[in-house]
Amino acid sequence: MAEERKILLKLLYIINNNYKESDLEDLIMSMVRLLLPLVRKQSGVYLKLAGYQPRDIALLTISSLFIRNGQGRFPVLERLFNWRIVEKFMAAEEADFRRYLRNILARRLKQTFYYLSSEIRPERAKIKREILYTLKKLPGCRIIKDNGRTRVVIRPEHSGRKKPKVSAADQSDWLVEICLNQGLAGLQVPKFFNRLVEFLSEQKLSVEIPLNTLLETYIETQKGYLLSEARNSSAIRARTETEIESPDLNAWIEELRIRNAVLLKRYLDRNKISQDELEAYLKALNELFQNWQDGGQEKSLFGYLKKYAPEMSPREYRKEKRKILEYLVRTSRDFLKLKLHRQKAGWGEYDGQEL
Amino acid sequence: MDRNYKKSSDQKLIDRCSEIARPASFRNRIKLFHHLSQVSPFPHLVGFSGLSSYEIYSEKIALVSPDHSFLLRILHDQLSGRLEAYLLHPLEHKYRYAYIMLENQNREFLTDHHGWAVLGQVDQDRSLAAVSVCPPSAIFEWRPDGEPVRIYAEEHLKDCRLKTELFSVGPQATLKVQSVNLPADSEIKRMILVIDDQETLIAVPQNDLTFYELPENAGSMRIYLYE
Repeated sequence: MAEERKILLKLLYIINNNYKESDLEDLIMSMVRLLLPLVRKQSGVYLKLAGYQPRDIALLTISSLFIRNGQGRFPVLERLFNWRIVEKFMAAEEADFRRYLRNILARRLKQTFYYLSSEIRPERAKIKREILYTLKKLPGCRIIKDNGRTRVVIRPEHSGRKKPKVSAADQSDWLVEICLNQGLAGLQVPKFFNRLVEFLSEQKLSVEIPLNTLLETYIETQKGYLLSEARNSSAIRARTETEIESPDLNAWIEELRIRNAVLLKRYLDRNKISQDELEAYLKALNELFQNWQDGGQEKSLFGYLKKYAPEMSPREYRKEKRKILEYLVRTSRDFLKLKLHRQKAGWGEYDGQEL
Repeated sequence: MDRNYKKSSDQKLIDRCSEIARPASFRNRIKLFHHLSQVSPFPHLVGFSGLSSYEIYSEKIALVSPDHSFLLRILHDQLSGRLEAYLLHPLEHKYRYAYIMLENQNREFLTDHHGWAVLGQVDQDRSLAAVSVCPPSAIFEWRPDGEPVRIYAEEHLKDCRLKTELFSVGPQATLKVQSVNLPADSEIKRMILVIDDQETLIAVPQNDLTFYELPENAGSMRIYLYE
């Protein structure tokens, strides 16, 4: 008998409250087996970093269906598969039920990913907390928690009650445009929102916006900035190859290696890392720099470090190692950016002379 | 080695699926013994106000814990023929929403706000030979606009916290509850959300995490943890 037909029969027993423990166990197992390939397909690098196995995600998704009430019934399961639905599928083709079941499981899996987003993508949760912290301190900003949703009212002093002439759905794009035009990209959260509130105050505008939209605005602005920067740097590279002497990237990277070794030595001296860890960090960074030269980062930072510290668990990485590695990568990137900017400024002078 | 790993991984999955379906093996269960003293001929005197007249009940068995703090009275409803259990303890967090386990039948029952549970039609000679109770190890109060506040926790769970997040996308709000700072040897086997006197939701946490779908207009609630 096909797996789906078995599930349908077990569901019927449960809805009729005429099931054995083994029926329940079989039903849970069948659903988990159906869901596992979907989880594997959809789980990205973030999921692995968060320390969740596909099995954990499948069980989390399924277990929320099997929450009982005081009478020993399963309200969520009975709502999704009430007797009318089960009766309809008993007479229908198996493929129809398979489709319905897969849709339900896929939708609930998506919800599970959403509910776990703060663990799976902790940097987003961190940015959100930082935004909240900044806005709480900014005059003219008010945070409203309403039925689990957080909205932010930005009404700077002297701004009046003039509202932007954009629909709520377009507010995010409108804000991203403002942020990019005002040169807020690349700024840290406190400065970013300080300047945004200043701009709204100058324009005598007030907005009421969900916190999630503000988070997306911040992320999209940074993304837009990085993309334009990448385009600029590729233009620089094109010019480099054709017109001007190639920047000595190898020399810069060599300089970076020495710099990172010095920084890591400080961690070692303060007993924050061991000698083996120091070497793992250096090797991981070398590989990352090589990838930068060859076209870009290929995997997560965790992936780079894990290769040279195979016994490291995702939990350990999140707890101690990530902040060190992220710091080194960030400062290395800034170092290279600075070098490129200086070279670009040199080219600017050169262009001026030409004109 | 890979095959062994796969086998153990499959077994782990099967075990965790059965944990959801089967009664929990609670760590802090307290075994009860038959109380040999004369059973009370007036069961209605033990807090049965508001229920049916005592004449329909007859007390079958009384069980006590080794330190005599728990008293479990098994009553027989003469009209419906079902057995009912009434758990008593001087502290209310010990009898409210406590699990009663009939070991021989591998069944568990949850008491209500008054310490009362319906056992139904059970074979009393066989089922009531081995009975134990499991009170909650920690209780938290949750409000929609705040963090969960600890109401009660056993000594080793003093540092335990609950992290909650409310998602209200769509018609049904979902509450994500995660227990954090648990001692290494401790595992939460059941997590119960008491919405009101009528509605309780019983979850089997996975990775100390549970998602509850809340009824509409749910206000403040209590969350009970069981080890």
